[in-house]
Amino acid sequence: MLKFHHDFAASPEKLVASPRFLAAINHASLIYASNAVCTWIPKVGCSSLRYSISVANGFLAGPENVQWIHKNNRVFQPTLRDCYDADYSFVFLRCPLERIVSAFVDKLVDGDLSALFQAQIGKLLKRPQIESFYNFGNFVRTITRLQFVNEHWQPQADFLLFDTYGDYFNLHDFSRAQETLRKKIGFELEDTRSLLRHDTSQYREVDVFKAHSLSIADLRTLKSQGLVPTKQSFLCDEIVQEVQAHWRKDFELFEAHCGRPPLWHEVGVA
Amino acid sequence: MMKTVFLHLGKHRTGSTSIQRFLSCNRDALLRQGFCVVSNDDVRDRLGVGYRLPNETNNVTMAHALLRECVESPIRALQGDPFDGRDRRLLVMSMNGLLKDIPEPNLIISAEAFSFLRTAEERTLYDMLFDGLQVIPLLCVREKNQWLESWMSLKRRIAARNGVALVDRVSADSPDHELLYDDRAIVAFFTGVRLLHYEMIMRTYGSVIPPFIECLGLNPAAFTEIEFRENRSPPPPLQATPEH
Repeated sequence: MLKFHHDFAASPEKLVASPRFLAAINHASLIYASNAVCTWIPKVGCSSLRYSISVANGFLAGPENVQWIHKNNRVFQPTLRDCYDADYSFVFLRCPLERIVSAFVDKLVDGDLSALFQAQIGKLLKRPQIESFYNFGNFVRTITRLQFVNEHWQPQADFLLFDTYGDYFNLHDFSRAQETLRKKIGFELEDTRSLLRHDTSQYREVDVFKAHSLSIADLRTLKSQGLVPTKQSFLCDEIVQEVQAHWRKDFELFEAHCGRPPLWHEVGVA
Repeated sequence: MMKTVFLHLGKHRTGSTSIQRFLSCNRDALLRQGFCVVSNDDVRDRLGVGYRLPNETNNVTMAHALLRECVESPIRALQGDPFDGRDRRLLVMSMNGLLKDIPEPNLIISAEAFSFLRTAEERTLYDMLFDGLQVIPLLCVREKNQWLESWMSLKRRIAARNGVALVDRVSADSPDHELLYDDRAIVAFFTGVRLLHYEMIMRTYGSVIPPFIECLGLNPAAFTEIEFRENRSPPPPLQATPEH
């Protein structure tokens, strides 16, 4: 029976040089006490997972050193033998539409546009005041048409290490996952969103007319007022079509294990 | 089937006058599509008391029947409080009856003064006003510094024209415009607000009216009477005598 993901055998490259394999193995952690392997995907609750694994593996005592996880992403990386011998494996999946919106808000609105896109769209970045006009629609077009890969929006399917996991959890049903992991392997999964402020939970979400046209500067103004658009507000037919085409594998993966994505949008209907 | 109320909250200085003029000019066209524009004059007639404005699509009477007395809004500075001594609950119940009597399935109510509502008592009156109706609040927000500049300019013009001093007093202990500006507090007061971002809209459309029409679920191309009005001209003159 195949243990590792079938993608690896189909790869023409040497395994150790395969970007697909490296993405998978670099985003896996071993939980010592239960001999379990967790695949943590960027923008899919990965800080909560990495923090909870660091606590379970005896490196952190509590939230006071939570930032430690950002410098030690790969410290619990399993060997291939560890993966083969693992008694249990699990992965979290997220609605692809919601994940791409979250990446935009987290990495571009709160982060540094120049640092992310310097190499890819250097000429564009030289235009003055790009943040006053660059919006979510531009962002989706940039990464889909320029094929620009960054782990925060790289397809979730690219991170899968095993052909089959013991459990595929839906990030939207976090509490059910907490309960299952506690019962099955005694793993305490903590929600670190309030500790790390990576997400938008401290803001009030509000429906915004055509939020996909709001520039980064507009969004920062709204956030300064404690408001963020709902993720649904960022979607329109054109954007959904682009996302559904570019992240097709992720839609199939999510639907196979978690059902219809929460932000599923029938183009032309919504 | 429950009627839907599209409640335009303003704020002031975000194209509200343009929207109210659009509503006034397109009352019949909207009616044909099942949308009744609620008139300040009709509300005042029903209550037998209220404010009088040249533009009847600004529902100042309805909004001020809910608004706590310590708020010194422009209309109160100019026309006083026409509800003095009246039971607000009875006024609100009467207005609820008026709204329910309107045969159209969709109602449009516009008044910037709704955006001043903050307190639990006001929320109780608000719930009474829209009891049995589905409300979709529409709020246009603007970058703080630009908004403040425009708001102060408006106040100066009203004050100069009418010889009154206008103070941003939005609660007994907050004689400044911070609460007035607080978009998060407005969003927290109303349920299910749909936000329109003024700068993005002006950049994209050049006018607040097409997005407003889209928010009603209608096609802007179906309306010919769309006036593009710069947000600089002085507001229409206010009548200084309240009707009792």
